Amino acid sequence: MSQSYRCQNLVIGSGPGGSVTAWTLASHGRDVLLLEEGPCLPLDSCAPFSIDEMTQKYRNGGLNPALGQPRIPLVEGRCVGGGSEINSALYHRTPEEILDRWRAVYGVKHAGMEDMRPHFDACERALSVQLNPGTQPRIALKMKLGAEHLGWKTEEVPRAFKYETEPCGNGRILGKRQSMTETLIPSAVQAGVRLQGGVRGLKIARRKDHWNVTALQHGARVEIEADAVFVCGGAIQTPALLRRSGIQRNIGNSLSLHPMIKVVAVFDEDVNGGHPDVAAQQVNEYSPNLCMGCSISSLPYLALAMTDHPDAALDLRRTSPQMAVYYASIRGSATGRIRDLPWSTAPLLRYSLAPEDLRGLATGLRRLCQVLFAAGATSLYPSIPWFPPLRNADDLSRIPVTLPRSASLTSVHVFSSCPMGERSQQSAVDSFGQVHGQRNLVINDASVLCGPPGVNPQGTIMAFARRNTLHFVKGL
Amino acid sequence: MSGLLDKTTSALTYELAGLYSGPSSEIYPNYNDVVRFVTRQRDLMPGFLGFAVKATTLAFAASRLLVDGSFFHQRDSPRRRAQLEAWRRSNLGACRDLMKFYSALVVLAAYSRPDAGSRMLAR
Repeated sequence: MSQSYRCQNLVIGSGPGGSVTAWTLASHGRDVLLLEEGPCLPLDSCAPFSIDEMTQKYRNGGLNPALGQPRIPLVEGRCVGGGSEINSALYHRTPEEILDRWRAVYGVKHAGMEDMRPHFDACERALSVQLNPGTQPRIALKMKLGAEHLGWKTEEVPRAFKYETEPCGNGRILGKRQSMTETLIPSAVQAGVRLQGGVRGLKIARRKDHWNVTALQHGARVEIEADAVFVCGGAIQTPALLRRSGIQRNIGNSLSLHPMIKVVAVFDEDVNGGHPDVAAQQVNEYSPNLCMGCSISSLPYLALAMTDHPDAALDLRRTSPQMAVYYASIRGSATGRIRDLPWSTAPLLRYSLAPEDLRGLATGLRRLCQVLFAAGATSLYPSIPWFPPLRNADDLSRIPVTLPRSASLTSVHVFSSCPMGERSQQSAVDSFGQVHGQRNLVINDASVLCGPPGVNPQGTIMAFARRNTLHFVKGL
Repeated sequence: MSGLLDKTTSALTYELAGLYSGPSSEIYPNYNDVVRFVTRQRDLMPGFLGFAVKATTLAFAASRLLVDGSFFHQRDSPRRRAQLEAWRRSNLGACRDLMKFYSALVVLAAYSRPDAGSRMLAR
């Protein structure tokens, strides 16, 4: 016999969207059940950006490429706290011009900067979003120096971090990432949320006056009855669940990414302390269409980035302190599809970059290399297999106008698979996440963004999730 | 088939680890932990993708069977490396993707070892 639960509000998925939703609902006296497919692990169950983290906290061990040309590996968290447990905790508010565009193109109501400000403020307080009070790492200072030489806009990005009060030996102030398991999940549980890890949602079905969710908990079938369901599984799992449930209108047809190309820079001085962390400096001269920043530069990730250059013959033991990885990412204009396969628990993802995206990435690569040469780099290795290293600014002319499809691209930001808006011919949910034509079924995660925000999306996801949840609570 | 897959995965991992590691103080360096990581991560892939990777790995194992009369894991290191190079530079995307897939896993695991900083080389 299958186990059954009953709750007033069911939240499926415990990433940034789901955590804000559960916390907000419980704070307003709702009886909330929060489901998460992955395990419940503390933030420090493994080192950040380590291979243990890949095994413990990444969906499919981090090996989940979107099929298309080029193949782009997509990384998703699969644990309580979702993506916030594995990301760099860089935090941005949604750029105003992006909010304006969503309003103009999709007819999203009440989503201007003034409407969103209280939600950003609340999320930033909950996550201790702040600038690093200590010295920035040298990897970041190099990026800043390069941008300033060119007269380009650059800034340190605030992070969801709590910092020590005293600096350590090298002047850096250590801190701890404020992921969902460090912040909103404990608050939500304290407010009465029942959290169940290891539960995979299989199907949602509307009954007379409630929703019925069928799930698997450690291999056993579970039935859950809820007055309202909030689907917060992320931009890939949310449309997969809805499509399996027969809810398919504008669902899973418009997946967007921030495609990213990386460059390994070699300097003639030490810049890399080998910390498994992401430096928070970004160059915003061409934001939001092009963002340049610092990537993970620990030894394993440096070595990984150098696999595109098997002839480089660099002695990493000797040179890794002088090397760092940087990236350029764009707002991809292409859209991908998410489809269920009847014989597979994982959905099929298809995404191919548009020709203009390949041109945009090539431009981004050229501009990133400009910054790095201006910062004093002596060699640059772009993530294009066998591409000869660039030794000086004159070599920039060798970067092709269009990036070859053999380039090694990645993306850690996915969204827009169920876009919001009042124009029901192009959107899946209304301005507040309610699925068109379905009562008390809300999507509250990265899926509802109307397109790539051009910045790290966690702040946007959380602010919209809070706004939508408050609208739901007050509107009922 | 699973025996051939395991032997090929192990031989491929050792060859790639050797390729990226440079000279070692050990005569027979042990990369069994890397093999275990590669196999475990491959098993975590979505079923249909894992199946495609395994099938391509078997094709890789047998790709010069008619010419050499041996599977990949039965060949000596120079001939294994020649095949790796041929697949890395292949015109077929599937061949390059397979090499990229295994290279990424091997490099991540090998460079994550506590002693990695003291003896790994990028090649």
